[in-house]
Amino acid sequence: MAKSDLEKWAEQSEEHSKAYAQEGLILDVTEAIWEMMDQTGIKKKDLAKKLGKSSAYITQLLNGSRNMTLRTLADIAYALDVKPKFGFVEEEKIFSQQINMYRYEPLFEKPVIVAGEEGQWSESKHIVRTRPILKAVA
Amino acid sequence: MPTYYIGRTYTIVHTDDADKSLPEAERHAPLACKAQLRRLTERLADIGTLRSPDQFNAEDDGFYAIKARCGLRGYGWFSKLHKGVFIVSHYICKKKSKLAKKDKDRMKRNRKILGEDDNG
Repeated sequence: MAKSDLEKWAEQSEEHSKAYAQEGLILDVTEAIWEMMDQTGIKKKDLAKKLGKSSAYITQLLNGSRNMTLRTLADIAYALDVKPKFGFVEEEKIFSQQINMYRYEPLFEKPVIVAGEEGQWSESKHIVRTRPILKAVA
Repeated sequence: MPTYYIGRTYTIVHTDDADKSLPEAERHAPLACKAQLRRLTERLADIGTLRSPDQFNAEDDGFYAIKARCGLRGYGWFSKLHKGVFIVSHYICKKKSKLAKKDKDRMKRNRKILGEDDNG
């Protein structure tokens, strides 16, 4: 399977891979916070007030320009009346495999539109990578 | 026109302008910011949306901006002709949040080239 330009960039060097992994975790956490804020109807300024901080501070936390400590994350979860769930999974397992009590979802094929030369579009099957999804094995 | 990334929900396609403008836009950007822009793009393609309005927001005329914190951003639109495709028009690096007229015109031009405008 040919790698996309985006994947090639991320795997181009150790430095790129690390930065990509860091930004992935930051985005996973901040998007989860946004999701909870959407669900509970809490705006940025409300969250700032609950934490005793400015809106600018919350903006910086949520766009990753300010490092979020675990203590701050706990405070945000407390303010949103939720509990964060945390765990480690192996990155990008190709095939379904059993690890302890869990297994990974296999890759799947989906039809996609692929752009070629200008004006040339075609449909092809592409193997889509999935993020490892933990599932209890019966 | 290269396919940039195939996600679970959307395929991200670059216009020629996007391909050419990316290295230029990223010239002075920190590595973390380049990685952030790619993670935002990847997540848009995989999940189908980005919840942070600071990092993905709708502009006029069906255009969208994917924004990294250092000012690096990609402008694009969801294809009308090809379901499940998001086309990145071009990349720039700027501090101002508001969409500049020249960037909007550039997106319109790229959209027209692909026959994706209303007259296409």
